[in-house]
Amino acid sequence: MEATKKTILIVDDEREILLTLREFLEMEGYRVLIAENGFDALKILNQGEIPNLILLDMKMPIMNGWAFALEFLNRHDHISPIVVITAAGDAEQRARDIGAIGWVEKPFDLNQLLKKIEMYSRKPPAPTLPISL
Amino acid sequence: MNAERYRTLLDQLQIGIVVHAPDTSILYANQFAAKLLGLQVREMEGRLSSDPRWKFIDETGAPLGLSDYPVNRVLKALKPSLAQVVGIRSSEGSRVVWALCNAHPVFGPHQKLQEIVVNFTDMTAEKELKEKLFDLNQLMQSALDQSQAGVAIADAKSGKLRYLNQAAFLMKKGLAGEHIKDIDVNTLASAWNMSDLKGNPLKNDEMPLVRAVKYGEKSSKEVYLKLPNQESRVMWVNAAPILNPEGRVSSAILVLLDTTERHRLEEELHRTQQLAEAATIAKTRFLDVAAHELRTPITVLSLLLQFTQQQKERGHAVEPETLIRLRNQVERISRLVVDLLDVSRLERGALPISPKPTDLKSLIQECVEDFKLYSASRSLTFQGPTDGVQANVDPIRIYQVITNLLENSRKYTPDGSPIEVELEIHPDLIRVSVTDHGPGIPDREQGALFMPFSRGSVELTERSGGLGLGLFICKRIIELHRGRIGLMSKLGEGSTFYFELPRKGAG
Repeated sequence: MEATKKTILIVDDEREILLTLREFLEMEGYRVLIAENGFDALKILNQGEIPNLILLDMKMPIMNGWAFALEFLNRHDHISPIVVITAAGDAEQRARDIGAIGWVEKPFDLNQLLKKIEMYSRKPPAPTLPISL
Repeated sequence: MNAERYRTLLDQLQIGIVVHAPDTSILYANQFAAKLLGLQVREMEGRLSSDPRWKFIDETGAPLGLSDYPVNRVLKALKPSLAQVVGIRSSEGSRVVWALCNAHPVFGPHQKLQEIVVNFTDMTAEKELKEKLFDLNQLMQSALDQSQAGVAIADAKSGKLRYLNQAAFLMKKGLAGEHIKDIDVNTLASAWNMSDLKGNPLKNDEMPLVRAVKYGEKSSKEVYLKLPNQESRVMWVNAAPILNPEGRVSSAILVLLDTTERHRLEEELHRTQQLAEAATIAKTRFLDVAAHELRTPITVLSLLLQFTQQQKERGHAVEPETLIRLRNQVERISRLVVDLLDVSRLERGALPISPKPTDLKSLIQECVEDFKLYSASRSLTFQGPTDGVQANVDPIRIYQVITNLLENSRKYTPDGSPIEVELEIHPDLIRVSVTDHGPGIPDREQGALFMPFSRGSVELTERSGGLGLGLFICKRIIELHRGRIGLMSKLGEGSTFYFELPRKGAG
């Protein structure tokens, strides 16, 4: 049973968001990993985790969403789809900037977030394609 | 030729000829002479120089003395009297005809004076023209001397000055006592201490007046001119050649305009515009940051509420912990809103300050105790005098300032590093300081810290967890208490934020 659970990595510097989303997604049957910035998220990925989906905030201290996406795409053989979560008005543009599969604008509806997670995490992680930035 | 023929010929001349006998009586006058004197030829013959009907005047307009009549000058000196200008007043007295007179003695055998021949030409037109030119010249010079602009006119052939007005004269250094007409344009160019707008001294050949004289070139440039009193002015230097009717450069004129004030205004305008633009950009960025900062707690609030609802739908009870989390987010939003309102009121000058006698020591201790409740992991020490410290302040606002400084120290220094609060009494002022042992603040960032929306100027990609308004609000609150807020910081050692309040009265 444990093995079939999908893994979601949430990267956000707002601890309350991390905790609430983790509680909610665990209740919905997901395995949830959390990181407070891009640097911590990379540490988790470097341990060999391949999440089915990454929910990524853009503005964070230490390592922001842009820097994280760049490092992640360059260093990892398998890429997990990224969904950008942002409070900025130009979520779509930000998602496009880093090659994310989708975006969610803060504040958001939990059921809609769940639908997006279900939709985007269906695909297995794809091998990394060479990218030029 | 006979005498009659000579007379006819002499009458054709446009020169007046009068021949006097040694007793000054007129022996002969030709037609032109008679016409100039306003008489008939026959009316003239036989008259003496002392005849009261002659109405001669000198150049000043005064009646010509009898001894100064050309004929009498010759009689007295027995030699020619040349180039004498004599005015002849018409019989009705209103019109004056001007004549240029030459008088020669004619000697007979044994050097005996036989006749005096006076010839004269009509120079009325020339004299009137000369007077007009003189007037015009005077007019021009006095106008130019009144002018604030410097004017110099130089002769192209000699390269020497023909004219220098007062303004131009006062701008130069040295050359005292030299006659203007002896100064050449190169000397003048050196006497004006000019440099280009980059500060390089102007070479003589770059000087517009020199170029106009030398190459017949019209040119202008803006320069710095250092006045003899060392004051530096911005000058618009403009020179052009003046051509004679044949199209050759006869002289050159230079005009110097002081444009310092215009420059200053332009620069001021430019600065104001830049400031206004920067302020607009800062405000726009600030709005972005504010919107972002407000959205975060609203997102958390919304998430918690949705999650609670879902749990309830699944039959779970609402945990008391969740309610505290919800309240924290509401408080976070209200703090942001209060900051925004404070700034808005400060900008309008409408932040109310209600000073009342307050014990600052107790107030600071209250801040410290409240802070400890929320930051148990921090070592926070307070040092102050043993007795209470009375001051006339708004306790709510001063509490706000101290709490803000403590909050900043907590936020920007590593967890566990100590914070010290100190209250000092000086003869004129009370000083409150908050010292941390964090990374310190680079000098170049210190100035902007107390400005509104300063956080708005940092990259939006960095989250800082605030609006960047705190220190601005603190500064204004302290200023409203006639105090001063400041910062001392050393990289790697930490920062001390302090404020000073005057000891007698505030607000």
